[in-house]
Amino acid sequence: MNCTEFEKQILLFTELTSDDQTKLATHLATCKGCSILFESIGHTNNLISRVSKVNLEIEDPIRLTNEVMTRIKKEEIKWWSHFDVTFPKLELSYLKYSMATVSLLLIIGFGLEQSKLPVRSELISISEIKNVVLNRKSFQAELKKSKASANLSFVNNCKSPFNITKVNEDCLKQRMASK
Amino acid sequence: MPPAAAPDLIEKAKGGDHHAFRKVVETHQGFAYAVAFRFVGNRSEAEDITQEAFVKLWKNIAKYRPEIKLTTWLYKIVMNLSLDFLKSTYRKNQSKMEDIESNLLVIDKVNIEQRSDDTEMLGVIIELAKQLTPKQQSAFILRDLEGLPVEEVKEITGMDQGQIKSNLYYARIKVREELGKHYQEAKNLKP
Repeated sequence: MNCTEFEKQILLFTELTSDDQTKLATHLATCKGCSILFESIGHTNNLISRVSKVNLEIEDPIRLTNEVMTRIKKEEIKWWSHFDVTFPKLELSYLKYSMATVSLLLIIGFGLEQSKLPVRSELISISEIKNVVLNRKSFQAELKKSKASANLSFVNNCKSPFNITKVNEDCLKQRMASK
Repeated sequence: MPPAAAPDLIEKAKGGDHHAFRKVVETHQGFAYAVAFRFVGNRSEAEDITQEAFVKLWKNIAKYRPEIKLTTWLYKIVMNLSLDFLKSTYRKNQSKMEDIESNLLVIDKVNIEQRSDDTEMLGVIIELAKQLTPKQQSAFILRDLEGLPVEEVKEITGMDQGQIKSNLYYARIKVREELGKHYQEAKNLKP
């Protein structure tokens, strides 16, 4: 360790471990520069430690205690008055919130009740099912017819074979196939 | 030596007992004032900080845990209030040397017989400490002026041992340098 490092240790003498203090003491015994610095810092430390013992007293301790207690009482009054003012508001808002909660619970309750009822499909009579099946069949037949007619009109509207477009080409192919 | 608070007094104060809290104030206000003064170096401001610290203590007394010393908690409150005060005065540029000088006269009145260089020097050191960063100032005041053990300084400031050492190192260098300048100026002023 060199003198610069020991100088740092001299300033932090009170923070050193006993081992480090011993090492420093050994160095101080051989280094005049460091021992002068140690002595000088020692004077400053003594001065600081002496002035730290200066008795600092409150001019009027009773007045200060009374002021503290008066402020505490005032703070408490403030707190209570705040509570009194806000209490009816709180009550009103609680009422609003509780009403909203009850409404919400009712809605959820009704919803659950509805989900427990038998589904519509279970109530459909056999005749209704028959009607639906028949209607479906007739609807599918209608759909086939309309598709066929649409196809026919598409095939009948083909243009000249010299008109080389993709649509016309498909149209001509379909006409040939239908024939 | 900071006073030790009777645990039953604090328990009573926790329950809202004003008389118990009054006793806590009476036994600890001198200590809180001395700490505040070492930070701000101003009598009236130190009294205001002391007052504020006890109001804060009362408001938060329910959070008090017996494993922490009341004085440690008070140190923390007073230190934070003092640093906030110094920050605000620094911003407002209200820190004036005349204030310190006039306040030193008040300290002197307290102990006229002992009045001497020590009281004056304390004022000078407090003033020099104000030039440090808040961390350096806290480490210096709590460790060197209050003489607290490192463990307690750690608890009050929230710094670890390395940070305390480093802040203390720079604080001591600065204070030493400034004290040297102060002595030199004082020597030059002598006829």
